[in-house]
Amino acid sequence: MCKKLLAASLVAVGAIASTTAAAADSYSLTINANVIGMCKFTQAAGAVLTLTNVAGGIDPSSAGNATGTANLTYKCTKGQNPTFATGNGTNWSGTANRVTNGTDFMVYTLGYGATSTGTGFGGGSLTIAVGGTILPVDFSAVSAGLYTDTVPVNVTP
Amino acid sequence: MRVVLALAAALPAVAFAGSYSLAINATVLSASNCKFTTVAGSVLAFGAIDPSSLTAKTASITLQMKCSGSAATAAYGLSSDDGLHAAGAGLPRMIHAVNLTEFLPYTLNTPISGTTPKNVVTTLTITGTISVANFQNAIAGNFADTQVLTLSP
Repeated sequence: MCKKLLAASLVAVGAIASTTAAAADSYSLTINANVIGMCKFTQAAGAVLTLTNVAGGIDPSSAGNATGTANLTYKCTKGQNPTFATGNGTNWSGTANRVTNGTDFMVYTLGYGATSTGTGFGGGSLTIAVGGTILPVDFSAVSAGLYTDTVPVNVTP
Repeated sequence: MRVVLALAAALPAVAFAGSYSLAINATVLSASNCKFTTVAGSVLAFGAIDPSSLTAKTASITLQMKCSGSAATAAYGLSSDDGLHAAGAGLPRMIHAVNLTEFLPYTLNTPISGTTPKNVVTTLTITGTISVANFQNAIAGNFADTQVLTLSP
């Protein structure tokens, strides 16, 4: 009976040895990344903002502002809140943006509608409404014609 | 007197029953034994990720190791443990530094296996990849993970 006990214990020792036979070394590797918070327009080039106070154009005798709206599409990093700002257009006077027909100028201003928080670049685009205004004092004494300007609209971050 | 003799005859049996079974343990290692030689602290840094990019982001780092043992050539294997925030087996993720419910999935080119002559420093290249689908809707900020790489044998 005692010899059987001894034999059993030797088998157990052998089993333990086989489970620890494989050598190994380990290394703790840190992995990191920084996702940039940013916004980008997805609107195709060529968007036009048309300002009117009557159907088809600006009535220079009207007391009503000439206004118009253009929608621009954009995307932002998820969670980012965009801020829109107007840059200096082609006919910038030094203090104001202006449209021109080549002879006369009209000062205009742009404003922005409600913004949407970014949902990432993998899904659909968001939309910002850009509103333009020309005051009667700026169109009441100018020559007729098509007035144009090209102005940068910037979004941050 | 006869009774006493009978008791003496029984003593050897008592001693045998009290013998001690001593376990003798010796581990024979594999014919090869590989160890990292790169000091701790290496970082696989993806750097800044433009979430509007349409190209997967990759980053690589090299770790050095050396195998010893009786075998002239060692067959080694490198595995990873999927890190601290895996979504499942083989699905490691980095976690945002501030918003702890936001993750950035990535992959490593592990497991890696190969052969190398013994006692020769060998360079292992660990490459991480973040797919466009995984970063384009991530929130801004820093993400990180830690994986334990295991080199065997």
